Amino acid sequence: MQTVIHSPGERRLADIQRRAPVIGAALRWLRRYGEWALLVLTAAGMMLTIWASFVYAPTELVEGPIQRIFYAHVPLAWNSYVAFFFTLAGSALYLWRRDERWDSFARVNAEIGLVFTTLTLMSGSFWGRGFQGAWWWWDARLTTSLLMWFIYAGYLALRSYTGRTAQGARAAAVVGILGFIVTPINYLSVQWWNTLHPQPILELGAQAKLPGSMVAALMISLVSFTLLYALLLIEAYKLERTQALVARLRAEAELLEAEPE
Amino acid sequence: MGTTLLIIGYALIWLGLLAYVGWLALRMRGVRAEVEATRELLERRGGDAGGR
Repeated sequence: MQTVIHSPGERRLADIQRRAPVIGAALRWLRRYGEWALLVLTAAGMMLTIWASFVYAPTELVEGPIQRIFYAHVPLAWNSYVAFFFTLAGSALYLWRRDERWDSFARVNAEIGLVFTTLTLMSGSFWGRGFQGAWWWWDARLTTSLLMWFIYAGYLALRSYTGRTAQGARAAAVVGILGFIVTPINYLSVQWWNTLHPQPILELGAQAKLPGSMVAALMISLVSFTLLYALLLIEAYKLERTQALVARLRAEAELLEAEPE
Repeated sequence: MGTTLLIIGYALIWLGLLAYVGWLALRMRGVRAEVEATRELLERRGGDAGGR
C-alpha cells in the first residue's frame, strides 16, 4: 500500500521509520495519541495529588491544615519559573534565528507563567492569612513575586498593543530576556534577605527538611502540575500558531482583494 | 479557620486553572470560525480568479 505523505513533519517521520522502525513507530504513536495520553496522565496525576495532599500527607503540627496549600503553591511557583525560563529561551532564539515559532513559544510561556504566578501569589496569601494572620507583607520574596507578575503582565500588554508585527516581537523578546533577571532573584530572595517566607525545604544534595510522606506528596504534585503545564503549553502553542497562520492568510487574501482588476 | 481558608484557597486555584482552560477553549473556537471565514474568502478569490 502506498502512503501519501503531506507535510515536512510526515516526511521526516517516514525517514526515521525507514532507518529505525521502532523509534519511528513510537514517534508516530506519540504524534497521533500523545496529547490524549498526556491528558489522561495529567488527570490521573491531579486526582492522585488531591488524595496525597488531603489524605496521605499528615497535618503539620505548627501550621495546621493551611500548610496543605503548599502542595499546590510550590508546584505552581516551580512551573512559573520553568515557563519564564522558556520565555527567556524562546525570546533569545527568536532574536537569533528570527523564526516566528520561537516568538510564539516565548509568548505562550509568558502567558502560562503569568497564570501560574497569579495562582502562586493567591495561594501564598491564603497561607499567610491562615498561619501569619496577614494576607500580604512587603518582604523580599513577595515583593519580587509581584514584580515578576508585573513584568510578564507588561510583556503580554506589549504584545497585545503591538499586534503581530516583527517590531512588536523584537521588543517583546528584549522584555522577555531582561525580565527574566527577576526570576532567580525571586528564588534566592529567601536566602539573601530576612523574610517571613519559609526557606527552601528541598535542595539538591541536601537532606529533606520534611517527613518522607510530605516529600512524597510534594513530589506527586510537582510531577502532576508539570504535566499540566506541558499540556497547557501544547494547547496554547497550537492555538497561537493557528492564529498566526490565519492572520497571515487573511492579510494575503485582503491584499488579493485590494488588487486592481 | 485554617481548614476554611485551605478549602477556599484550593477552590480558587482550581477555578483559576479551569478559567484559563475555558479561555483557551473559547479562543480555539474563535480561531476555528476565523479559519472557516478565511477559507471561504480564499475560495471566493480563487473562484473569481478562475472566472476571469
